[in-house]
Amino acid sequence: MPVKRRFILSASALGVLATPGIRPASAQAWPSRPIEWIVPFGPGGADVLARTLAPFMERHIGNNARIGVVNRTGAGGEIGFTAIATARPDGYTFGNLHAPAFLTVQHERQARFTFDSFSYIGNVETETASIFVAPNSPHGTIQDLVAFARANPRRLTIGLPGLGTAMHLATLAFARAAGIEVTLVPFAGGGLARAAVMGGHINAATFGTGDGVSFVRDGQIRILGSMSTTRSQALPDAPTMREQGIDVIAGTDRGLAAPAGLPPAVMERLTEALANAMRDPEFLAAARERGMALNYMPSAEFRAHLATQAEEIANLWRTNPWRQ
Amino acid sequence: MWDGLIHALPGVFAWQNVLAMIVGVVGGIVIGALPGLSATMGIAVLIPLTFGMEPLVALGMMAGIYNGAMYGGAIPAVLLRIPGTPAAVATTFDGYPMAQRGDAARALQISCLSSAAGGGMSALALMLLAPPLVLVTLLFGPAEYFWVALFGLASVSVLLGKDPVKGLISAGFGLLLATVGIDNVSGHERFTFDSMYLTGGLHVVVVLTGLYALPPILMLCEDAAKRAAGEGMAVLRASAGLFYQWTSFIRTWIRSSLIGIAIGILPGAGGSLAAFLSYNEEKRSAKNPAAYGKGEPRGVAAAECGNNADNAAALIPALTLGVPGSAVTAVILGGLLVHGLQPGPALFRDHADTVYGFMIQMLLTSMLLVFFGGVLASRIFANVLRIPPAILAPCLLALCVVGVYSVQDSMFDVYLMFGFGLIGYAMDRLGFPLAPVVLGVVLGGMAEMNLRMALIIAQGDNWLLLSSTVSQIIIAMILLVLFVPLIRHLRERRREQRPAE
Repeated sequence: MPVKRRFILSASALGVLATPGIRPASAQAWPSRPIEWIVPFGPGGADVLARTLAPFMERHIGNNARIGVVNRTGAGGEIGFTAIATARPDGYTFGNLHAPAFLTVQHERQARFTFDSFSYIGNVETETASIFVAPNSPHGTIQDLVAFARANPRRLTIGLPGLGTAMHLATLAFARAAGIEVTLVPFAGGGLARAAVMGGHINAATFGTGDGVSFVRDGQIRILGSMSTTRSQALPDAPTMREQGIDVIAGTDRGLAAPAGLPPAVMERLTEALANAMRDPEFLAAARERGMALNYMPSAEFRAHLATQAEEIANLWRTNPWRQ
Repeated sequence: MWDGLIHALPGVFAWQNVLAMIVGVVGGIVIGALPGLSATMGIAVLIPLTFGMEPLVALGMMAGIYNGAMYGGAIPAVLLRIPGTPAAVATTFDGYPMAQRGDAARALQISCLSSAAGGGMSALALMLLAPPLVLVTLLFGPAEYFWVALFGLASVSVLLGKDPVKGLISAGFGLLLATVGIDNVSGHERFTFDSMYLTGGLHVVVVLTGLYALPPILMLCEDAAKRAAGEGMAVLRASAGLFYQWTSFIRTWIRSSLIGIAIGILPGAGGSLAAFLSYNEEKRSAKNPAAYGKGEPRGVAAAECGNNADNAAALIPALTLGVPGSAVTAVILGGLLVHGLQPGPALFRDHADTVYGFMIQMLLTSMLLVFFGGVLASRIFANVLRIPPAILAPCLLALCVVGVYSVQDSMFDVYLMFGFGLIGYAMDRLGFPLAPVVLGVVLGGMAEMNLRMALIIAQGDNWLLLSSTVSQIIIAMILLVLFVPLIRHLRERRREQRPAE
């Protein structure tokens, strides 16, 4: 296996070197064969994004483009991110890039990619983090929760969808901003954390705002605050953390990226296609039906946004690592 | 609820939807019967193809594959001692001995009827009792899940085989395998040898296929060399008919269905635990426990009924709480999301026709099993035993490689499977039972992770692990399972000694 991997790496390195030579021909004829869209996660969530957007990307790339969505799962997305980063940069492979997942991996282990391994096409979705409690919880507002945590350091248990996830980092950022010490309980998925807070097994839980909407509307859980700049459209009555005096913005971004060293003409076609797809009324309708939290950022903005985040995470890892 | 069900009926019986269910059931039986391929993978492959379909067509196929594969797994388990899916391990205990003595067709028919009975009861629970059962699910936190996992591990006592020490070594090996990968609580990598492919842990299908499918294939090869084709052909006795003496299984079915449903509403372990526990309970309460493991039809009935009873029940927490109970339900949830069906309380209001239709489909596909499984499968599949080993062995091997590769599109998993195959062959030859390994792999992670989460929540006050009523009930059950056979054994020995005095 190591032999084969080295081969792939060297092949992609050769690809980078070879691109100036093949650029004119490949940009004109591109795409002359099916494009592979790598989704580093299984069906649901990230996969819905890809499957919903793929037909519209085909339409706006033009040239009878065909896109095949491939799930390359495992290792918390690392296997898929690696596949994108180490693919030949010819425009026939791109995929979902999720932040902060692809950034945290680089600190946790010896990843086979860095920030510069990708061409950033654009952001599609942003899921903001929120803190939820049970309906009968004694903590009526986020300030009550913070006051309890201040009076009882580490007594407050907050459930997470998993260790090192975006929601974990969001909870750490929240605790820092509020100046409290809490006990974090990593579950094996957001659904389990949500069920545990509903059943009263933990005091609170952090997960995606969208994952709480129907439960909040039904009165099965309460939302104390969302870590976003504006209130959620689905839950207009739920205040943000900032409104309640806690300055924290956190969540997870899901965008598209291709391997670094893409021919500029191909990169331009891809970014244009995404921009057009994100304006396509048919796509907007399909996204609304599937409850996607769209937040389009064009290539340069996406890259700058991620670069800031990469720096924050590197600082966090140095001062207060989220795992040993 | 009745309104919802009745309102959904016409949609379910549209011809496209009936066709979808039939295709799903037949496809599911085949997928389940092929080692390495499981319902999880079948549905995952199906989902992208359902994008343009009506939701009920897609869901009908998913329901068919789900129920079909759970039964299909029994086919190679009975015929070749190769469980087609992880949940069919317990079916090998009595199914294979039955096939050995020529009753393969009978064993397959019992599997089929029991699967249908379990699946049907479970679907009824989903349709009629989902709201109260969800409240039960919410009573379970990390501490309670830990005790459930321990309860499952306690059933190892019936899997130990003739030599308990070897059985416990096997179980320990399984628990060790469960620790491979990134530890979810501390984030440490354990036994990953710096390989990205091991960070996610060992996939149970990979371990199962290696341990269970490769040794019989190797033994078939040995056989093929020893004897010419056609010689020593398996005896196939004609079965007495699908419904022969079916009433004698009713008690078994009720018991196993209740166990399967109870395990189903608790996310985590899935059909394999349901089958193990059903088998365990059946043997414990039997008048003739010594006959189990030697071809007792009730053992087959309990295991197959138990694993199918898990199916629809596992959808209860999945649909209402968004908590998938197993790998299969996780994929089905993904399929629902694709069709704009968000799990949660709004699902039953906004998409009542689709959701209730799906529940009816779970019931109908269970019933379809009787026809496609009982009438067709047992006639056709039992003839697998007539294929000469020289042809059967390479075909099976190719299927295993394809199946394991498809689990995560990974060649690494195929190499792992071959590694586990050699280990399984050695264990088999040295008399180490394989079932405890599977139990360890399935439950080890669940037990460990929930224990550690419970300890984090307890914050040093570890008596909290015993504080809830639910925990106390499960602990009482664990003690019962462990000590009742022991007490019975001691009493029998005393009775035997008395005449001698």
